[in-house]
Amino acid sequence: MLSILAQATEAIDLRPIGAGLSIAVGAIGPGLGIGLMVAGAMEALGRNPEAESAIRANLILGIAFAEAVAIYALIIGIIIAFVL
Amino acid sequence: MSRKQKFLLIALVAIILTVLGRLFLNSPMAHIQFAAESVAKGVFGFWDITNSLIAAWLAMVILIVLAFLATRKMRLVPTGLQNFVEAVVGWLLSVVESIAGKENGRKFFPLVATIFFFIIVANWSALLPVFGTVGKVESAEEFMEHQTEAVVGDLNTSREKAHQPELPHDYHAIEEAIHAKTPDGVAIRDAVMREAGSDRLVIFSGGEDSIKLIPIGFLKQKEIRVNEVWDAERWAVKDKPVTNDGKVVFDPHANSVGVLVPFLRSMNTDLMNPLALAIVAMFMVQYWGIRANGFFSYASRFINFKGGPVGFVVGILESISEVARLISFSFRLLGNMFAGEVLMFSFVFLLPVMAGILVMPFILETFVGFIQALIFAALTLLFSTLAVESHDEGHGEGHGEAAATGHAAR
Repeated sequence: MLSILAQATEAIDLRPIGAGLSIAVGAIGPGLGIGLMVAGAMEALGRNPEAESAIRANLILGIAFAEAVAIYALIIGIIIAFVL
Repeated sequence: MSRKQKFLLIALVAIILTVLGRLFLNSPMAHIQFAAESVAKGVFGFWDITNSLIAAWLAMVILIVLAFLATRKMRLVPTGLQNFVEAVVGWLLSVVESIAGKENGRKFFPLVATIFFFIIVANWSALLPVFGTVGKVESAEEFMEHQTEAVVGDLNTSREKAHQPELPHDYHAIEEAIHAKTPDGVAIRDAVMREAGSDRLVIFSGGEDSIKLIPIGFLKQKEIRVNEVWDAERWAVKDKPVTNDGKVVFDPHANSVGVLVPFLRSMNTDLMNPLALAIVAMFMVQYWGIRANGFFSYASRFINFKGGPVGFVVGILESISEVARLISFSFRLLGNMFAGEVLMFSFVFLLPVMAGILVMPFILETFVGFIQALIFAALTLLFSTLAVESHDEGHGEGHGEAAATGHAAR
């Protein structure tokens, strides 16, 4: 009797899958990139502990660039999920 | 009892409270909308005041008041608020000068510092409890009207036009279908609430063409696709007879609540504000570049006939990357802030009793807000420095030296 409340649509809604895939795949690259960057920074720090502030500043800047790419993917995911 | 026993007891109590809270104090998922919601429409006839704009005004007021208070009775040896503000400004100036050099640093400092302080005050003020929670509740009808206006376009929309039957959203048909009942004679909203075992219904928007009915209880939702259903004559799906699989209609005059439109929403979660900041920053970068190098010398970076065809393509790529910087600036800031806001909303609605767990995204938001402000300002400074240096020096030398000696102030 309560089956009248079931949502009967013809087409499968693929939008949540699209949104999820967008950020899931889009975060792989930047994740690896940031890991490599921090690895390089750690090694540089080990070789030359005196340059800590210079390394830290450049590291943060580089991480922001790499993270921006992940944010692009997140924005597309958000647009798919909330606007489309 | 021993420490370990105490710890286990606390953990057990926390788990029990969480489970009980999830069972009895549950609430539906928050309504998250990408575009900023208008608080006041049609001011002066054309202007929609959005809640992110009000938050931006709040950030401006905070900054102006802070500046006024800090410079009121200025002493040579500063104390109190003047001391604090001088320390922050001094630190920022040292960072700017270490990247850009003394002379250029002073030239760029006003813009860079303004961007930094504006963004950081806006981001941190959004952590106040007032943001996102205090607002007015729109009834479902008002909300549907807004959605329809958004589709038709609000340049020429008037109330009369929104009620015309040839709207793509079938708004008129929905309005008629509101009063329908199931074939059994039951009001649909009653059926939805009975199935969930609740006596209260919350209506949220599911997007442009659907509405969610959420009975308060076990976090159930029913999503209704609006534009597939409404045939005003037969109360049925178009070209299909009424069956037990018919669609659900809703009654906004029932004991239901509409959508909460908060009065304040973090300034950088709306695309408009980061975009405005990025436009200002990029415009000033070009202005300083032209001012320092002369128009033709600066333009030869982008339209480069001297280096042959390769140089020409490089110039095109340079100009594309300049435009792409606009997008990357605004989206970096927008994405970080919006994702943080969605995260905090989700936490709030996920664990009604274990509110202590909110500390984690709160601290994250504080840190991310600071870092994003710094990144925006530092990148503006970087691009200004690159634009200002002349072609003779070459890119590697001037910039490398600045970067190597720089950042030492940190």
